[in-house]
Amino acid sequence: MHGIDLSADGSRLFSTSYDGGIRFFDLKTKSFSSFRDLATAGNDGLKYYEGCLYGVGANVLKKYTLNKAEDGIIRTEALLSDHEFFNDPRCLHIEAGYLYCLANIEFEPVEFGRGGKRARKAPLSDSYLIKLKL
Amino acid sequence: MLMTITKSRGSMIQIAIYHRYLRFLPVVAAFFFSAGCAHQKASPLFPIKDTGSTHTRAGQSPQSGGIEVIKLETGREFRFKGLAIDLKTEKAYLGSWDKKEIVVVSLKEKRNRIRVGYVEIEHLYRQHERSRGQLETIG
Repeated sequence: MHGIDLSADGSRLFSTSYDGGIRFFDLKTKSFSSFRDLATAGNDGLKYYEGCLYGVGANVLKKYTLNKAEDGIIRTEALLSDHEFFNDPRCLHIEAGYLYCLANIEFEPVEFGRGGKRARKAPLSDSYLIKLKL
Repeated sequence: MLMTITKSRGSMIQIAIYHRYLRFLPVVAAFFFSAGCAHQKASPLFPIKDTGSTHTRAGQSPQSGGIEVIKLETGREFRFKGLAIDLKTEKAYLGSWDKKEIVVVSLKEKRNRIRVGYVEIEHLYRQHERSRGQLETIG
């Protein structure tokens, strides 16, 4: 389990893990919804905001639009992929219509996957926040 | 015949003028063009436009709008994994995973529409004795 967040009314938990992807946990019935999509796996940070989930991991920031019941995902969009300051971003904060993403947890280029894919070539000299208007 | 000769002389003069003065025109144009590019490169490091536009999609230039890059100015001293932001006080709280400290960065200062937060950096907590796991408050 990595990222976790609450729904607006506090009735549901959203969670994400590397292998299982995003899951929906009803706090009243204490059970997961039937939704399961392994394509949603790979996130570290996960935040809920106005009917959507935002996940970040493996150098990609994604937006997941939820259904009306907020127990499933109906649309996935990549908002930022391999941004020039991304170096394994994992944290998100969303408030007042803006998303803040801690762009790098490391300075030296981080390798992703078995192929050793490196999004960056040069190391970073500082830490950066990315502020994105939603 | 005379007309032809005159025309021919005229053309020769034009060619001579071109060779003497205008042949460098492409070079001069290229110089000014490259100077312009160099000027653009020399502008502030992150000339991010806060245009308030909609999402920047994957693959687009990060400068295409709706995005602001905030340099924390904490250098390479800290590596962070935790983030909390208080918009009322405009402070970012960052958890350092390598130094075991929480660093507060003020986001109030703006320069060239780039938020640079280095006005106050406080080390709130320091893990003083790792073996005991005790936290010591500083300041």
